[in-house]
Amino acid sequence: MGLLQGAVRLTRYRLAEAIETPDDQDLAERLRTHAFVSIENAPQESSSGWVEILNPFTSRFEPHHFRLGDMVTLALRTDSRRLAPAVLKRYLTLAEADLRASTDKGLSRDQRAELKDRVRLELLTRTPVATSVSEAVWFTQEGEVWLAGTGTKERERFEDLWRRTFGVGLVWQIPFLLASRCLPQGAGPEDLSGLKPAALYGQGRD
Amino acid sequence: MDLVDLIREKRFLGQEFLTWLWFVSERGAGRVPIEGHGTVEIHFEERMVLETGLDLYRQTVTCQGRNLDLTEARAALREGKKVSQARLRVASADKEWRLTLSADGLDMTGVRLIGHRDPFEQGPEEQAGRLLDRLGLLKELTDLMDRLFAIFLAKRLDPDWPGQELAAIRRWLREA
Repeated sequence: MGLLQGAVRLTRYRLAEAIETPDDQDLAERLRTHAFVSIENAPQESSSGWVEILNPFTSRFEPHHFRLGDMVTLALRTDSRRLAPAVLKRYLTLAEADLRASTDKGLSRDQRAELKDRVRLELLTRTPVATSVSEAVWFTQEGEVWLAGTGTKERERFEDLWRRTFGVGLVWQIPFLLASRCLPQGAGPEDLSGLKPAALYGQGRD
Repeated sequence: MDLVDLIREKRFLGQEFLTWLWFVSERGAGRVPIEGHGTVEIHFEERMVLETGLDLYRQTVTCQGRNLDLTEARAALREGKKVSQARLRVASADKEWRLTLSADGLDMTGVRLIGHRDPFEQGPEEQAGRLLDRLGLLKELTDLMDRLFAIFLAKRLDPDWPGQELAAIRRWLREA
């Protein structure tokens, strides 16, 4: 599903300010700096970073891997593990029982917190990782960026990583902002900002 | 005004655009002329969501079905609800797309490029070619939607909007 195959979900952005597109070597460096880092053997819950659009398991970013004419193509990969609270509770209860059996005293708050962290980390390394990939395209001539995704968290992760990678924010092209870019002749921004909802049926504001 | 406030306060623009698009599509029996481009076919089908109110007070009506005649959707419009999401079929020249368009951010979901076949070969060159083809088709679709939005906006900002397009939309709703 996405830009490569199947049905597409699309969010459209524009760069928050006009910038000179970095050259290919600079782009490659920036993408490599924020490339995806695997959590396969690390006790982490999630990791996000750039991968190549045609191969989400690599981040070499040779220019011919991301450059398509005036477009820069890339993909945001997010790996995550979900540790169910009930699973954590079960193993924590067992670990607390073991610890209590080996000491005469009860467990302090600090000991309990430390134990919880240890159990959580142990469980995380045993929890399988799920991967999601959201493809993206930067139309460098037009300053427009597409994300093949519409989820709120997906957008936030993408916008954040984009800002950190390219040093410029993205503005979601909601209808009002799209309208401000295609005002008809003779209309000004004040006409648009002064617009009120119309009563499409019956009496009301026009 | 930050983006969240802007989305809230001006969300009616997207809703009115979808409603207007439905109106012009029905007025022209699915054919909508675009100056400098020709005629584009727009059909509302399968699913439409209408809503009124905001946040906790939001009420929605979903009309869904294979042979949807949208009678209920029109009734909801007459009650003051506005189109917030619609499933469309768009055709231009020999290209055809199906998509769900949302009023809030004009997001497109479930976009299908009808008639575009993915090549059987899966080598890097074939994949890059397929990506280029699909991006071209998507770009054509977004350009079309932008043009339609610009036509709507020109009418919406026209001082004659109340007496002409809005009056025609109201007549269409009364007669439907």
